[in-house]
Amino acid sequence: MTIELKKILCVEDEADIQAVAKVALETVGRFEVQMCSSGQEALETLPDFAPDLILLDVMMPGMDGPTTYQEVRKLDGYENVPIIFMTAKVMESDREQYISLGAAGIIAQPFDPMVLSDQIRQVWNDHHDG
Amino acid sequence: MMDKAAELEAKLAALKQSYIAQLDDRFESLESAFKDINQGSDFATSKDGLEQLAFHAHKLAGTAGTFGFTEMGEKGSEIEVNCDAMVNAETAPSAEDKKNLEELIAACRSLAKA
Repeated sequence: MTIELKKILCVEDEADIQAVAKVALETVGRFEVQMCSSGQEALETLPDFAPDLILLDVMMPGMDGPTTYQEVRKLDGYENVPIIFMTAKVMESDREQYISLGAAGIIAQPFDPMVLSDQIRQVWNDHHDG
Repeated sequence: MMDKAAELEAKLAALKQSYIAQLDDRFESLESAFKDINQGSDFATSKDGLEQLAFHAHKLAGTAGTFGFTEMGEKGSEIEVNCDAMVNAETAPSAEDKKNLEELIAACRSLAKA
């Protein structure tokens, strides 16, 4: 039986995308959502929020998505938490790079707010069934 | 009780108004970066502008489509891809490249009014 997905940490520097993602995940997915504007903020938020899954923007100023990914993996208890990259760049070479890093999935931007929660649940289920 | 789709639609409509209200700032960021590119004479003096333009175009590409401005998002992606290609090849934009970028930025502005 797959564990239920409840808490999502979303790391995205764009305030507009943050707002849409939060509304979509709370309204459609009924998830508990915590937003962070940077990789550094995410690292500081993780211990208290303890998400089941992390949604991570690739292109952010300062610490980018792949760097944040690697820093998260160094934290105790976060070696295997599923991380999904969100990116407007969906070239095959980029996709391969994120998957080779260990990402559980990739969601292309712009995402459809109505189906975002289902996309995440699919990745979650695949991660646990796989 | 409102169903999920209707509830989401109502909330997104409010967010879209806010997004439209600050689109002008996004276009100004694109135009400012383009101005730097236009003043550059070689790759070294164009690189920062190209990177800035790619960054802001990437952000436009990621947001516009989410709010239903699909074509604007596609233009944003095109600007980003063009700038990235020049940065990766360490090539200064030609006069034709500059004209193309300028037209794409102008098209984004026009699409906001459509």
